[in-house]
Formats: sequence, C-alpha cells, structure tokens
Amino acid sequence: MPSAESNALLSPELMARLERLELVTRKVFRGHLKGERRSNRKGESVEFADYRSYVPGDDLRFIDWNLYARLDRLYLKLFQEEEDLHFYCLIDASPSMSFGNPTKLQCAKKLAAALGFVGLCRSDRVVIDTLGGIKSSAPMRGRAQLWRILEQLEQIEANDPTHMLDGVKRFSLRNSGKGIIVLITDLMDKTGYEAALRMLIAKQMDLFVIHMLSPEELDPTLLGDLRLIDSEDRDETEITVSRAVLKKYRQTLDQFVSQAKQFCARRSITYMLTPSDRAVDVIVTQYLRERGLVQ
Amino acid sequence: MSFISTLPWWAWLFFALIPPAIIALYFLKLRRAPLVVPSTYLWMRTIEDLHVNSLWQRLQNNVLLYLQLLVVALLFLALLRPGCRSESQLGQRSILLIDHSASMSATDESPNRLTVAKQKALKLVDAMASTDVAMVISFSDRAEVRQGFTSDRRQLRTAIESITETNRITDIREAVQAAAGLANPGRTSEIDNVNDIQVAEALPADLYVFSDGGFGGLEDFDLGNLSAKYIAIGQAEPTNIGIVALTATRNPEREEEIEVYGRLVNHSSSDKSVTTELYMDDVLIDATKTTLKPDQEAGVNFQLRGVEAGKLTLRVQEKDDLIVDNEAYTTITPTSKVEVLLVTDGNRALELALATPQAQKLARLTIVAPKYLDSPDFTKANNENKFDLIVFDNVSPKTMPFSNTLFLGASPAGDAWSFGEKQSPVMIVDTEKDHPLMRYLEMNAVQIFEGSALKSPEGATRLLESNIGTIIASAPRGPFLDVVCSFGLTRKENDSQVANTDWLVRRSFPIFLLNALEVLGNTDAESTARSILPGESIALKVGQRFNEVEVIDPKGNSAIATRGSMSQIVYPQTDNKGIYDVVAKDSDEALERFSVNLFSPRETQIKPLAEIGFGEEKVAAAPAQAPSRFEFWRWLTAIAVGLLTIEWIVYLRRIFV
Repeated sequence: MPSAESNALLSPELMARLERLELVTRKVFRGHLKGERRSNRKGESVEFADYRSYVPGDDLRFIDWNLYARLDRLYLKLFQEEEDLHFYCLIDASPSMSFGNPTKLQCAKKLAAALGFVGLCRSDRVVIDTLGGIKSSAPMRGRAQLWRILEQLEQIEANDPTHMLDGVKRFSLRNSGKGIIVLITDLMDKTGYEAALRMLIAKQMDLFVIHMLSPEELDPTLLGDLRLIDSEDRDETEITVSRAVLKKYRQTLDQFVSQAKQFCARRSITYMLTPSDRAVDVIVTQYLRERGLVQ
Repeated sequence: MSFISTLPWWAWLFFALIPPAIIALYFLKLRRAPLVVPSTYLWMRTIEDLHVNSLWQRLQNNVLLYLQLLVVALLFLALLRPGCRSESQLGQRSILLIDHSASMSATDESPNRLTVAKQKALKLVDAMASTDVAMVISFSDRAEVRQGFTSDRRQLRTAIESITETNRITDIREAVQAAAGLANPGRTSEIDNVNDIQVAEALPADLYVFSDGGFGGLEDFDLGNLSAKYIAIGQAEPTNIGIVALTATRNPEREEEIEVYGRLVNHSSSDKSVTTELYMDDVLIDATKTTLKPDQEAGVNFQLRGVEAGKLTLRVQEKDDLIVDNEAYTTITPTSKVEVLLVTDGNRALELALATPQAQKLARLTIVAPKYLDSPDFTKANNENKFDLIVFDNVSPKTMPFSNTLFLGASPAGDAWSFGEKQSPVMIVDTEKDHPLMRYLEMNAVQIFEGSALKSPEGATRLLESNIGTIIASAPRGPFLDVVCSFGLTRKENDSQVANTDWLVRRSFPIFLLNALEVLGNTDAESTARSILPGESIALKVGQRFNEVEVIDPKGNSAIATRGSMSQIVYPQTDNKGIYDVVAKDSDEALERFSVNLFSPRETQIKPLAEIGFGEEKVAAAPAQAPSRFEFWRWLTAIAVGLLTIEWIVYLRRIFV
C-alpha cells in the first residue's frame, strides 16, 4: 500500500489530471511490447496504414479479399503497429538535493511520480532510477505498477555521492532501451555536467533536463563572515558576504543557467529550470506541456 | 623638519614587530560562522577573482591591510615627534597678565593698546600646544583671575576677549603675587624674608606681562620660579597731555571768591600749546592757553566770583592718544561750619583756644558738661550725625559717638586704646610734622608735667613722641578718625584744676586745635567735594539715620548703597569718571557729592617702559613671539584616527572580502 509519503508524492486530484496526459517523444523508438502508441513500424492494429503485394509466407488473414476480387491480384493490408515507450526518470539524489523547503529531492520525487504515472497510464515502460542506482529499477508497465514506483521513490534519499558522469555511465550500462529520459538534477557537480549529458545524447535518447534549484540557491539571503561547507564533499569556502558579493553571485548563477541552457539547446536537449517550491502539477501540466514532454 | 625620539631603543624594537604582526594576523583566519550549503560550486565561482591563494595576490586589493599599516606608520611617525621651527609658542605653564588700566585705552596703537595686547595674547594662546596650560589674569588697580590654568584654548580665548577697558590706575603687584603664589607655593615672594619657606612643590611658569609698564611697587618682589616676559604695548613716542590735579578753593577772606587751580602735564616729545576750558554745570565760563614743553608740568588758574555751588569741569582741548585724562571734575559746595561739641567740666584755656576768630569761621562750638552724654538729646543728635567733631576733655564716653573725636587726657571707650602708667616729667622727642594735624606746630619747647604712654590700635599714626612713648596718636574707626592725647591739659591737685602743661599758653596750641577743626571737622578751605580715583571705594559721609542711600553716577544711572556690618556706607562702583550725587533714597535729599578723576601722573605718562623691574631682576620689553618648535605629531595622530575610522567603515560595509 502506498504510504503517507506516497500520497504526498501524488495526490488523487493530480492523478485525475495526469490520467488525461501522455508522454510525447520527438523520436520514435522500438518498444518491446505492444503499447498504446502507434509506431511507424507496420504491425497489428486496427488502423490501416498501406498495402503491399503478397509474398508467400505472409499471413493470409491480412489479404484484402475485396481488392483481390476487383483486381485479381493479392495485396496484403498493412496496419500501424502500436508499441510501448521506454520512459526513464533519472533522479540526482546527491546530498545537495536535500536543501529547500520542500527539498529539491522531494520535488524531484513528486515530478518523477507524476511523469511515471502518466507513463504507466499509457502502458509505457517506466523506469525510475537515481544516479547512484536503486535496488529494483526494473521497467514497470501498467497502471497497477504505480505503487511499486511510489515505493521505489520512497526509498530514495539524498545521500548519493555519485558524480553525474559516473551515474550516467552506470545508468547507460544497465538500461539499453531507447526512449525518453528525464534527468532531474541541480547540475551542481564540480566535475561538470557536460560529459554526462553528452553520454545520454549518445544513446539516442530524447533527453529532458529539469534543472531544479532551491529558492536559497536562486536568491540567497546570506550576509556576513561565513565558512560555507559544501554538503557533498564537505569542502569549505570562507567568504564575507556583502551586497556586492550577492550581486556577483546572482550574476554567476545567471551565467551558469545560461550556459546550461545554451549547452542543452545546441544538443536538442530540452532544458527547464524550476525552483523546488513550485507545485508539481504546474510543472507537469504547464511547463512540461509547453516543452512537449506531455500532451 | 627634525625628529625627537620619544622611546628607548628596546621600545622601538618592540614597535617594529607590529607591522609584521598585522600582516601575520591578516593571514590568520577570521572566526567565521560555519554554514552548510547545497554546493559551494557557485560561491567559489563567484569569489574566485578575490579568493586567491597567492601571497602577493592576497595582499593586493586589500584596502583594510593597507589602511592598518598606514595607521601604524603614522603612529610611528608621531612617536618620532617630527617638528619644525615656528615663531610663537607658549611654554608648558604660562600666566598671561593683561593690563587694562586707563593708560591701556591710549590710541597710539590702533584701535587701542588693550585691543593690541589682547590680540597678542590670543596669538600666543593659538600657538599653544595641547598639553600646555595657561591662565589669564587682568589687572588695573586690582587683579582678577579671568581663567585658571587650563589647556582649553576656547576658554582662554573667551577669558581674554572678556577683558574690557577701565579708567583705573595700574597696580600689578596683586596680579604678580597671584601668579607667584602658583609658581612659588607657600612663599611670600619677598626678598630677604628668612621665614619664606617653600612648603609645596614649585611649578615653574612663564609670566607674560602685556602692559605699557605704568606701574611700580615691585621693588621687593622676587620672581622665584616665574620666568617673566614683558611685552610692551604702545608706540615709543606717544602724545599725551593730561590733567593731574584740580582743586577749587574758596578765598578765606572773601567767601564769594573761588580760585580754581588745575595742573597739566605734557608727556609728548614736542612742545604743546593747549587750550584749557573751564565749564560750570556744562556751560563754558573761562578758558586759557598754556604752552608746555616735553615732560613739563604747568598750572592753570581761574578765579570765579559769586558762585555758591556747582559742578566744575576742566577740559583740555587737545586730541592726544589718551583722552581719559583730558577732563577733570570737581564741585563747589556751599560753605558750612563744622559742628563741634566740647565735653568738659570746665577748661578756660581750651574754650578760649576754640573761640579764636579763625576757629569761629570754621566751627560752631557747643560746650556741654559730661552728664550731657547720658541725655536723650545727645543720643538723638548723635544718631542724626549732628556733630562733626566731639572734643572730650578729661572725659571718657561710655560708647564711641558717630563722629570724629579728639580726646584730651582721656581714653576712648573700648579696649582699642589704653594708657600706661603716669610718668613725670614728659619730654617731647619728635613731632610728625607731615601730618595735617601737626603742621605748623613747634612742640619741642612744650613742657608736660605728667603723662602716660599711649597704646594705640593697629593702623594708628603716631603724631607726637616723648621720652615715655607716644603721647598723641590718631587712628581710624570706620569712617571716623579718633585723635587721642594721653596727657591732660589740666590735672587735679588738691581738689583744684591746675595746668598740666605750658602748651596752653603757647601758639602751637590754638594752631593744633585749628588743624583739628580742619582735619577732624571734615572741612577745609577748598570747599570742594572729595575726589577719588576710578575704581576706588568711597565711604560716604551720611548720617546714621540713613541705612540706604541712592548714588547717581555721571551717566545718570542710580545704584543703592547699603550700610554694611560697619557703621559706614561704602560705595564701590566708581569706574566712571565724573561727579556722583548721593541722595537720600526716599526723599531725594542731597547728602553728598564726590568726584572721580584720573589724577594719576603714572597713568598720564603713557610712554611704554623699555623694561620693568621685579626686585633686582630687570625684564626688557620683548616681542610676544619666541622661536620655538611646531610639532606635527598631533596632526599625524588625528590622521591615524581618521584612517582607523575609514577602515572601520570599510569593514562594516563589507565592500571587499
């Protein structure tokens, strides 16, 4: 049964709204099972696609007998194949995600639950994973698997010290399928995020980066002589925060976000910056809709 | 520019460690509040331009460090006491004596001497070091401590600026004694005083005298720890013609004739021909022209007829450097006789001597027996101050009367006077002929049968000395004067009065009584009001029935004078020259008139002295400025403090990391 946190992750009202949505990809991938979305592959469905000449060995059930009667030649009816979609939600569970109110991780979990639910509703293969990896990250399909997703999400805690590149490497090795990947992260990796994103692009994935920052990162209110301790590597930075320094920080942040946006845009990665205190339904139904992840 | 090291070498060594210590402290970490943040990634990128680890780069752009080092450098420099030659500066302890007597009103300096003296004193105060202290004393005929020792230049300036001109004469002694008391504690500053022992630590001080030197009285003064500097105020050749005396004398033969006599003096370097005008009640009645050579005195004489009473003003029409002595005032009072009471059991010789024609012109004599002293009539007359003089012949009153007295062979009431044992014979040794009572007397041949030595009160004047001691003396008693003759004119022998002296038959006896009438009867032939110097107190001669009188000064301002603890009414506010009217407070009854004149040859002689003497020591006039050292250390310290403030502001504003 879903726990209280699960309820908090996904409210019934939100579920009701999400049921009407589906995940959209700009690319078409081959799924393993028949799903609820049309494939450009021809297959078995009720939707006519084309004709082709019969060749021996073809399934006789798909011969258009009416056409044979008229033309005296055998043609086979082709139908649109309906396939399932791989949807990966990769969450950055590093300690830096534990900041904010609600925490960035909590917001990421809600977002993953919402998107996963949308995927499950459309019989997509949904995989929830973290950069450091979780115990059972097997693909789930079908609405009934929602509780498992929620259970998985519950287990995620912000104590994963894995660097982004290592996490992406591990993820790529474990998951060979193609599809949509949504990376929810704060991009605060001192080794850089660029190599990790490049690796995901190389997998021909439809990549969405949701850049999640807490309000105190977006608009810090620090002042005075401080010894800043990095939550991830415990690195210490001594700083005297003045209004001038705060102004410079905001410039640096704008530059950082701008660089990330530019990097993503050049590589057809969909980038979205969101504060952690923004409501998930707004993110999904408004912002992600605008960016074409759901419709 | 020169330096004076204020610290020993080891202290400099210690201070030399301060700059490295500041730099070392700079690299020590501040005690900063720890704060866990999601990531320091962005913060590091924010401060990477400033947060550099290179020593040199760390030192660069650090205003706080530079300011601190600059402050230390300035303080070091201040400790070296840099300085340069300056023109004027006071010593560590200075006493500024500023003369504001009448002569300092002279206009040979522009606008006048006092203003110039004050300006010079202010210059000295401005040049004071912050650790120096000074005090300000003004002096004329009295000294006034305007400001005690202080280093507050504002207070000193205020004290100096508050000094105003006066019409008074100059007496520096009180002022230098006040100054000497501070520099030589416990000392009288008298030369050859063997008991003069210094009881407290001496405080040497510089004594600056801003004056024209018109004073004396310092012949027996010892400066001790005082270092005197005399700043002469005034031009070397001033021009001044002044009136130094004015009297109006009624002709004894013809009372309607009055002779006015004035004395002029020319203290200029050239001959002066001046017009002297005489005004009566502000109306010009006579004038005369006088020519005076330099430093020459001359008299001017006017004869007035048919004048009963009035105010006389003598004016010199000359624009000189000191105008305050160009006018003199006096009054002519109606003739009046002295009321004399003779208390005697009968003394024919005395009565005859007081009945001479000359004495009758002066006095109205009343002869009473001793028992009259106990009567209510006497008490009433005494309270009304009816008698100017009471002569007690072998009679002592129970209480002293409110009038002048002459005791012959009797002791005054009270313990002030006493007689010794009677001795015989009495040989006269010396007569004080300079005293107005004893003038024209030839006493050496006078024989006295018996007499007693007089024990007179303090302040008494010995008038006649004999082989047994003083036998005639006078002493003031409040506003009154008592003259006591210890030998009687007569003595009792076998129940009869016999002559005790042959003085009765000598010419000197009626002359003595005539002198007594003139001196003790408050009358003389001049018939003029008393004249005092500006600023002097005057004991008003009003009856005992008045406890308060109104005094109207020459400017028309009135003031109430009240009888003090003594039996007299003393009026001290006599700074304005002119004629003062004393009237009864309620009835406007005219009681007395006196004049205030600057009859002071010393003040009239306004040429500044080249040197002044303090005992044996002569102090020559010197400029107020003395070569001295102007130090910069306080400016350096002030800049250092300013820099510290800027550093504090920079730190608080957190402009830089």
